[in-house]
Amino acid sequence: MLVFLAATGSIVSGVLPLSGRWLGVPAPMAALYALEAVTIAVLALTYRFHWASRARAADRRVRELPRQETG
Amino acid sequence: MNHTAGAILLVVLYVAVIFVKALRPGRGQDASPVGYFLGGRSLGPGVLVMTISASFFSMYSFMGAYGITWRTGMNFLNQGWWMLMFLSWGGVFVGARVWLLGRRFGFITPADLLAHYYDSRAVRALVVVLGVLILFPYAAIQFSGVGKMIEGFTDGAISYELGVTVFLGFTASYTLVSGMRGVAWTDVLQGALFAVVMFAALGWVSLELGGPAGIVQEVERVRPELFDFDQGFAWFLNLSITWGIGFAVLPHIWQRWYAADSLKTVYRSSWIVGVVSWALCLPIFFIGLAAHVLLPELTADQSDALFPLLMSRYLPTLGMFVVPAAFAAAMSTVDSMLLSISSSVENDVYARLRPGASDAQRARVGKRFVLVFAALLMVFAISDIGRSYIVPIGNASGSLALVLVPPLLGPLYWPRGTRAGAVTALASGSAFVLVTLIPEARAALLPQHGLLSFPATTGLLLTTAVFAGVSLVTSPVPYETQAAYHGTLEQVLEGTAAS
Repeated sequence: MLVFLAATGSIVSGVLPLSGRWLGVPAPMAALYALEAVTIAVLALTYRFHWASRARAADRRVRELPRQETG
Repeated sequence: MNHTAGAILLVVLYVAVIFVKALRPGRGQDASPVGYFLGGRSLGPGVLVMTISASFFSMYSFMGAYGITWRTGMNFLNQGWWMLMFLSWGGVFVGARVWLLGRRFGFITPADLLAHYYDSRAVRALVVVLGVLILFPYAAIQFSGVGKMIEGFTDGAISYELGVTVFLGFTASYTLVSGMRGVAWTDVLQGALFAVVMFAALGWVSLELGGPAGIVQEVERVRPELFDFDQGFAWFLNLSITWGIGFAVLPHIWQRWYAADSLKTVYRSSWIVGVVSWALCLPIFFIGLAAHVLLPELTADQSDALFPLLMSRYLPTLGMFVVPAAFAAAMSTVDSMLLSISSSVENDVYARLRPGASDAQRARVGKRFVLVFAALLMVFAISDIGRSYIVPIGNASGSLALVLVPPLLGPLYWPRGTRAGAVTALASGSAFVLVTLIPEARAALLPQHGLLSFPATTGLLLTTAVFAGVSLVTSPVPYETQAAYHGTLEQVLEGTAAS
């Protein structure tokens, strides 16, 4: 989580000081939206090709676990 | 029919639909605490996404967020960024593990998990108090927002107090009857309603001003300074840490992880919640900016209410839907919080005092606590003392939620975490955040600038340091407990054999 925080922090610290205009809007705004679009694509692909199969396999293993009600 | 009467009629219709929707899923629900408070751990991905998003998007989306965009311009983009970056991973890093341990050990509340792992009544008590401090004022803010909106919309014909009372009556009634499953399904409807109203408004504003780029260019001509990130990187990062990390451990969100029907649901919901929340920031950002052109006479004092003002000026027919949509945003947050606070008191206090109580008795008592807390919230939201403390404590909700993060590392990631570490971290972290609510104490304890000037980030660092430091010099939890937790996590998530 800390690595992730450092990585996103570095990206943002690089984007915020940008100057000029991209696609008719201020550059930091365009850059943030572009990064967000890429992130959405990465999230969708990561889920489709990694988390979904991991979760399916984990759900199979969950069914074999003993259950205990402590709540 | 004038638009005020139309809006009131829509609210009545909306409440009727919510009641029908809330009652239906509750019918087949089993009469036990798990059935009532967690919907029998049966929520699928669609419902989970909507109930998490709707619970997270509160009255703030209608009566605050637009004003922030209006006042701070491009700085608001921070919200979409951290929602996408952090909410998407909350389920992966926290939700999946919390779900698995909840399923394995039958947990209902956040305190169950931490108290069971550390085998500590003190941990349970601290987590319960922290949960109430996180949720209670935040829920009261919703009441306050609705009361003000109704009073403003009806030109004082319906007073703040009456608005709060009526809103509370509706919300408490369907929460009481339906429990988690009904609340989750009403959240689906409520989330859809406020998303449709917000995007319909964005569509109209875009047509008027030439699309999102047109909005930016028009606003740049009149307020170019709004397009500087002048709040600074530290502010940006602090907000990301506060809500991005704090979100997954807010008590009512934590319980939604428990309520999922499978790990696949948790993983799938997690990234979709991030994308949905990010998308909901788009109308807030562009409409908040566009108000500089469409409502040039607006003052800073009025800016929090710019969305209903804009709608009533330009789109009175769509504007009629703003009141029920704002109701929906507030109700979907309050119902979840009411259920979470009640479950905490029933499960973590009553059930410990009455260990022989049957499941049906416990569920009945839980329902009574829903009523008790609803009444307390109303008193708090209406009283002068309550009103003066609502906003400062409510604003500290995210900082207080972060205090739960380091002790949670013990059962989820770090077997070396100890009971003494958890107790001291919870006590010192909460005390620190609460003390920094006093301006003089904040000035004395924190630097004036930089990341450490924010109580949330400093509190998280302090709590982490205390937890790690104390844990390293005290005895770890018994090996059997470590093996049961970390062995389960490894066995299921990594597919390795249990140790």
